[in-house]
Amino acid sequence: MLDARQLEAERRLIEASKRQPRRFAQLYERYFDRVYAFALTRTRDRAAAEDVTAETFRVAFENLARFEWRGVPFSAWLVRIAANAAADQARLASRAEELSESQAIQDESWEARLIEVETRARLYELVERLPGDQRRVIVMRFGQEKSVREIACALNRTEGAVKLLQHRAMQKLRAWVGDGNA
Amino acid sequence: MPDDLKYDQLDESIEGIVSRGECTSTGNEDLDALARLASGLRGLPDPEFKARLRAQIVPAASRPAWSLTTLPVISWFRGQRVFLAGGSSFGLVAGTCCIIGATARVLGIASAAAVTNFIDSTLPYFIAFSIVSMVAWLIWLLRDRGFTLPTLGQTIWRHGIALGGAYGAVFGASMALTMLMGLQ
Repeated sequence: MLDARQLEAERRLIEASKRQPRRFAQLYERYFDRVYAFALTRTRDRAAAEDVTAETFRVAFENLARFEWRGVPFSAWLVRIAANAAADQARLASRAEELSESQAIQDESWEARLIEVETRARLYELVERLPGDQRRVIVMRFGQEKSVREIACALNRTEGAVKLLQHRAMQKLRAWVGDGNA
Repeated sequence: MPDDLKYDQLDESIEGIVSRGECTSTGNEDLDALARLASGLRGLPDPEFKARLRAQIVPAASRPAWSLTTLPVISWFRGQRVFLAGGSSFGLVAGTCCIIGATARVLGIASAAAVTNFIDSTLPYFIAFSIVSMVAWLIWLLRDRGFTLPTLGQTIWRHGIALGGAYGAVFGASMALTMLMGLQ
């Protein structure tokens, strides 16, 4: 939850982005993880989550001039756009299994979904804080879905060294999540 | 449980999570906790997608086409700043006796001969300490990369130049300062 000072800083950044479009990059960096986490939670599919995230930021960028500040975090507006984009995508999906899966997701409570979004977004932020090689391994393993062998080749390491880095990274993430103050 | 086995079992769990979305139990409480956490990372955003989307969304025309930081030399220095700072610090440690001596000479606390004797007797220790510190840092860097000859070579090639260069420059500057003051 943003405090009054953070909200004011956000309002100023939004106003600056309206005047200078390239300042939107800061809003993008700040909210990418949360929007993507929301999209993934709704769609349960990487490609679909990427489509929803892209559509969300495209719509937000194009409509930023019309955005009126009402003291509500910018992320709330983005999430609303993302929810619409996810719903549009679900409507467009033609396969029955996708529709039934989508219906199952709709049945989840908002509270459970919100907790999952926040947990995922937090984890993504923590990954960014991992030391260089540990971060690279986690990003390649989960973000690019590469095998240990592929990662070892890319990093010019042994498979054992990659597994060690992976283990250390997960331990570090677990400690940070446990502490809750990383 | 041997460490290698732990790493293998965690990797098997992660493989199941990434490829099938299944988080199976390993029978080890510690590893299962890590695997549960790993299931939250399934679908982690691909940085290439993030960068590509950013390039599409934020208009390229509004970004400066050129800045000083895009120069290869500047960007290399920016990437090496930690090692440059480290090398400078170790160079400062090595040259500390020279700086102390020069300061004492300027303040009139000690004679030129006394300062020269001080530098002669203490300089090797300061140099030895700074070199040991640099070796310790090198070992720390290699801790994650593995202690093999190729990784040792790569690490020294990638960062040793910045570290050693900064070390030599700062240490050399402190030596030059003492010589300029007529001290040995």
